[in-house]
Amino acid sequence: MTLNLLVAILVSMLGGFFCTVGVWTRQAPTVPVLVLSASLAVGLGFGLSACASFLSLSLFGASPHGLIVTDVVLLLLLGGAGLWARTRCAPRVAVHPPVTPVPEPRLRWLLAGSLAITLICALLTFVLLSLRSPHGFWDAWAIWNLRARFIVRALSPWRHAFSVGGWSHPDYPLLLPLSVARLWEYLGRESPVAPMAIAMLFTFSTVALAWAALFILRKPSHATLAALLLLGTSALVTHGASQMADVPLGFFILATLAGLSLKDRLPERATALLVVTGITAGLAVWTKNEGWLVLVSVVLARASVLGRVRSWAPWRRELPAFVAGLAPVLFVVLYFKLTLAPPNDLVSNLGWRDTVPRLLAPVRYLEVMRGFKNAVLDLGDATLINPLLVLLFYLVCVGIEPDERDRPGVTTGLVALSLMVIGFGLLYLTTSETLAWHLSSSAGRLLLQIWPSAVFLAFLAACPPERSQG
Amino acid sequence: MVGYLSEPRRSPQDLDWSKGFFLTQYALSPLVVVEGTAPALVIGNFPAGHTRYAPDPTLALVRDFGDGVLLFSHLPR
Repeated sequence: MTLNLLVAILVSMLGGFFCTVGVWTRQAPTVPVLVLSASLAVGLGFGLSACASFLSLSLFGASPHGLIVTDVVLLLLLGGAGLWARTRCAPRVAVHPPVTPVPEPRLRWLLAGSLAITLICALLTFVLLSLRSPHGFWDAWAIWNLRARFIVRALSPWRHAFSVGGWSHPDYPLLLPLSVARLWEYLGRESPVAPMAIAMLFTFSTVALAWAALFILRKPSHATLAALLLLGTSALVTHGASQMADVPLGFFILATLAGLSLKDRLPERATALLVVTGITAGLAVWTKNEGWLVLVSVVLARASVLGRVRSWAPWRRELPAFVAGLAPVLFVVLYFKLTLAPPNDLVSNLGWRDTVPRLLAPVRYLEVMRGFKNAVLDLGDATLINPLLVLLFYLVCVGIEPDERDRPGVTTGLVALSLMVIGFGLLYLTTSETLAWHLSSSAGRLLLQIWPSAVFLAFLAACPPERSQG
Repeated sequence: MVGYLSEPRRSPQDLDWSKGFFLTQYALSPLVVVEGTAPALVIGNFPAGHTRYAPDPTLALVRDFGDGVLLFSHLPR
């Protein structure tokens, strides 16, 4: 069973690796570049496999080993594209990431030791939580794993998965259910190990991605401190182990914003990074409906920042590569939405007659703000110190001083995250559900979706500790 | 498609009731579970020891699985 699981994961990751070919150098890649590619490969691999699986199910129907055959075809296609990109598009001159000064040995060992201990603690916590709830938390068995069961068990009538009542949100996209279904097909049985493994990969790849991107862009010490803060965010580990879609969505938001920041710093790899960024933005939409808000926020933020700071020309130059990555994934999502998914309950209940009074009720604004405040407090679960307070305290201590080249990336990220928070607020203000219940059941998870990106942006903008000491 | 019979909800957002219903659907997929007794077969999900609650007189017990889980079918007319 273990071997089959490893093969299934490696097949996905290999496909993801081929997508990141343009990010590599012709010489041996450094550790941060390897970690960056590996963490991106997790999201890209599982996401694109889920896209291919959905197309295969829709076009050819379900068969006992259909998803495995689809994987092989996808791997060959991505391998061919990666090879072509490697020979035709990779920079002729070997390019290394910017050289970042290494902190003094004592600080380096202190940080590395702390990271190792925290990582072990987080891994143990994750495993214990997973063993305690092998089928995940509420939404995992009510939505994501339920849909995976329908796909694997039903075979030809797999479309019945979308006739289950509205309580199961049958309009939600399929990245997670199809990833679980794929692994079950490789395993030959419905083992809870499959969704656990996917949850673990996304949770720790999120931390690895933030570490690698900050290592390349900023300082090793900043990368380690950011990883420490994310691993120390108990809500991230708890929700990761819950097998819900919020941590994977957080991964794709981070990958999109980090990709744009890396693109600003590594212009020789701009095209490859923009294509990857387009794919990750699309995969955010394929993970949860909130992904639409992510996509619109990122596009608007990037356009407004580049248009304001420079001119529209850089944004127009970025668009083709971004769209090249985004379009195929968006096509799959739209195909799902138009052919299979029932209407979304929140959107279909938005009539003018009910929505306008909700928007004009001041008490709802207060309730939403109270809900967000509770969500911020819950970020640390029941731990003594809230991670947001730690981050703010750190920023106050070291100060904020982003590198000039990172300013567009930092500003894009901040504007995008702000737009997302405004979008979340509007969603709550207009919801037809009982507001208090809606807030208490989801605001914490929405905040968690943007938390890894917020940490990444904060450390990208913060003054490195070495400099603040001097 | 199978029906679902349990204790009445205490409120529209009765978490215990919803949890029982959702987990029944999770266990029985790919069968689609619907609330009520309209389908030919109906699953009863009650707290253990409270299994006599059957408001629909047309239902006949087919099998008692224990722990409050029952299978009913409609009596022939």
